[in-house]
Amino acid sequence: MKLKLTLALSLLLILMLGLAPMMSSAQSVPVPDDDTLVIAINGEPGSMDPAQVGGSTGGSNFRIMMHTFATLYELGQASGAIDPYLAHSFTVSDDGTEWTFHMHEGLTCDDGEPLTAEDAAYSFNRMADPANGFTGNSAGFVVASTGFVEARADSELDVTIVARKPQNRAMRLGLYSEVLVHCKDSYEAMSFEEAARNVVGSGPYSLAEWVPGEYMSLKAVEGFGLRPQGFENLVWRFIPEPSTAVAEVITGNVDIYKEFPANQADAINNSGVAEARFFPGTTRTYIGFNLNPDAPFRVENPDDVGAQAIMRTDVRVALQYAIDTDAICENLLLTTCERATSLVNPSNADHPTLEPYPYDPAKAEELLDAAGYPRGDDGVRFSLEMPARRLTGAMAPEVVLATAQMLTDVGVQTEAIFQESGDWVAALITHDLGPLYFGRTGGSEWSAQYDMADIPGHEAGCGEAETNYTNWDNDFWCTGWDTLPSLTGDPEAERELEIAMLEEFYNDPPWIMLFAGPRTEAVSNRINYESRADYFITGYSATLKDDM
Amino acid sequence: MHKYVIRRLLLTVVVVFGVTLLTFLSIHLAGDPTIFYISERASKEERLAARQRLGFDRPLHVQYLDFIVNLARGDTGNSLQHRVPAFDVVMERMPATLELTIGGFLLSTVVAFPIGVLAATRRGTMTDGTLMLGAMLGQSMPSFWLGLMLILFFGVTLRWMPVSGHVAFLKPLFEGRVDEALTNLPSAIRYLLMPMVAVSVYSISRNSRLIRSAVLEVLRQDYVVTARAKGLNERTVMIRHAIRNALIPIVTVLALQFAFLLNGVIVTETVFSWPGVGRLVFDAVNQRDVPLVLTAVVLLSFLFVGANLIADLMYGFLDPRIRLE
Repeated sequence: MKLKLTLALSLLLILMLGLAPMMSSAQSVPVPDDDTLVIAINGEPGSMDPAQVGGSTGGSNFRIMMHTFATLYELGQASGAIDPYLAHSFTVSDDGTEWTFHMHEGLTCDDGEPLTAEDAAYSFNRMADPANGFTGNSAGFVVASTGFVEARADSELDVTIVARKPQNRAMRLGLYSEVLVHCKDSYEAMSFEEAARNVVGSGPYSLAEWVPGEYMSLKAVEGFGLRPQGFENLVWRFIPEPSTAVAEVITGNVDIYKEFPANQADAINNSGVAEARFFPGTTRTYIGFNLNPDAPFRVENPDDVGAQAIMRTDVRVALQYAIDTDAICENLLLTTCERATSLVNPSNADHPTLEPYPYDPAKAEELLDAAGYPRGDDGVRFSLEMPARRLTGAMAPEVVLATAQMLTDVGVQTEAIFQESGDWVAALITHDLGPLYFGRTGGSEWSAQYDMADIPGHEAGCGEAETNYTNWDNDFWCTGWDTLPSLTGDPEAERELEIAMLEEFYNDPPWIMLFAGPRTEAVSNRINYESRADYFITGYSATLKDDM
Repeated sequence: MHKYVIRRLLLTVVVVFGVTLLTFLSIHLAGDPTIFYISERASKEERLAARQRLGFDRPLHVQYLDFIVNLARGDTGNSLQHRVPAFDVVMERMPATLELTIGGFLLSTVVAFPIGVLAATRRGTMTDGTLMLGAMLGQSMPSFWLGLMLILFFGVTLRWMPVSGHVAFLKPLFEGRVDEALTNLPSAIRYLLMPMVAVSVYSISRNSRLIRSAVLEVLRQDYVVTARAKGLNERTVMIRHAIRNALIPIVTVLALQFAFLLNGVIVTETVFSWPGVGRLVFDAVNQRDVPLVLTAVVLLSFLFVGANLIADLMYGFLDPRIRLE
């Protein structure tokens, strides 16, 4: 009897499952329509506190929060542009340390609270106050890179941001443009826990719904006149698996998806509903030489020939010739890309005359022989390990493996070791990753010095400076970096020094320079949308095509 | 029986203690979690200050005992990534994981049972061979690959099923919104179908092979021979004598299977963008979010132990000779 009952229930379950696809259904997440733009991203924001951007919560929250919060100036849609936003202009003190932004009148936050200079000053001071424990891009990168001291409201519409010393103007303006402005009264009334989940924004969209693990829905703020609002609703779907995100694009459920795997471009284009775009990006991909004398791999194995060999400039130069970036880009990334000459984005203010190292394995071998590392009987000069992560695009495993093989082909036996992202980052930050590591770093289109900031000067500890993961300790570079701020009043001298520093980087390379980007983006055929070279997705600028 | 249940529940405390201790040590063995909660530009001084603020500067045993003491008080601490109570973050995702796990468990049991019994009763025939070949294929198929194939075929090519996503059923049900849960049910099943198949194919294959072996073993017993000799028809022999006696080892494995599914949903949740605990824990481990990982482990341990307890209690139901004391 019991068995019969079990069998009957089983049949009922099977029947329900069978009929389920035919049943009418409530949609799990909003789908694209005339009022709704759907964007897929792989990560999910941990916190939506505007002072906690990137870092431990992942960069995904920045992409979303630049729609819910405005900034004084904004990294523009056009290449290299930094456009006015909450502020219409700014003035700089004679010594270059105090920047006063003049804000628009009549601004408000989502809750109707007037948005004034006091709020802008509060936003800067709140994120920079160590007592608040914020991390990530604003509280970390911006504060450290600008030498932020304090922000103060000089009047209702004038906010002054004070830094320790002057800095390249584009660099500083760009960095200040990454600080999200929020209203003081609203955020002072919230605990950190509340601020992590609630948004009182200052941007073109407000938070309508957040379903953790699934999506976040934003609604256009009525009367916001500083930016376009192409769609009434913006939906950010959290889809961790790239192939699934591409499937959602193909089925018309997602309008924009950045960083799709290049080998899925045909599937996107053949779908007839979306276009696969390839374009140069700002993210710089490279192979780092870890020159840290105290790195575990060097200390624990002092006789490791490879780890010692890469300490030599001539060896590092020789290895530049071993990598065929054109072949990697054309065959693995399915696009063309320009090989970098330094750590500055080729589309940015890179060195004007330096030619990228060509692919010339014979020359690489010749230089390695001359450096005293001939091939052994087994054809191997020395061996190196190269930790990497399993990511997509320019960091995809096949790209990592291709570079390892190219190095092996010139006698430098290179083993790519794939690690969990967390382990890889942990070793990177403590300068213990290597001897080689396959890495990438963000970049800009608006300041060469933004890209160069990966390796700060003597004042910051240079070789051991936090972001100098290679521990490269080049005296000319490090001194130059410290000198640059004093030259902001003389742009020509500043540029001359930048160029000399980039030449030094080229001649004494701490990286094997690969390329910037390339980036991919799938965009629905129903919308007008200009892809950005950087990390951001400005959904507010997308509009529905007239014939749709 | 009551004493047994109480004793098992007390043992749960020991299990949770052990599991959290191992998890805690594993996370810390992988390196200092502080680096995930500071800027990449932070100086050594700032790093030390952050370590102090996050409490990672204390000896490991102090950190662990602190967690346990707070856990006993019902306080799991704040998630370092989310900056809200870790318990809330995990519980927010738990219903979705339970939907997938329970769905997968039911499907694997319901499908595996007839396959296993049929293969056993047709031992050595073409039917047996085909079913077992299918089972072997199912066991060999990675759920990640299978998930993507299901998406490609049913979601992209045929457009019968949604590619990814989720409609909540258990969450509104747990929160007392019964009407909403019932309204959502058809859509919830529709969204659940492909992930459920992906997560259960391995279990179906394994269980059907196990059920086949268990039934074959019983069919060799004297009492089955006797039942046949008495002239009972084959259906009665199978249902009354063979299958019921084969259930004990099967139930044991099914209980473990539930726990296996619970752990195995990480990949499936990722492929289908399912907002469950598996995906959450995976991200939390990558970010060394110690409070979040430990909280999830505690809650999953309770579920694991609970599933095993239910299996133990079922022995007595299935075989009256077994007494739980």
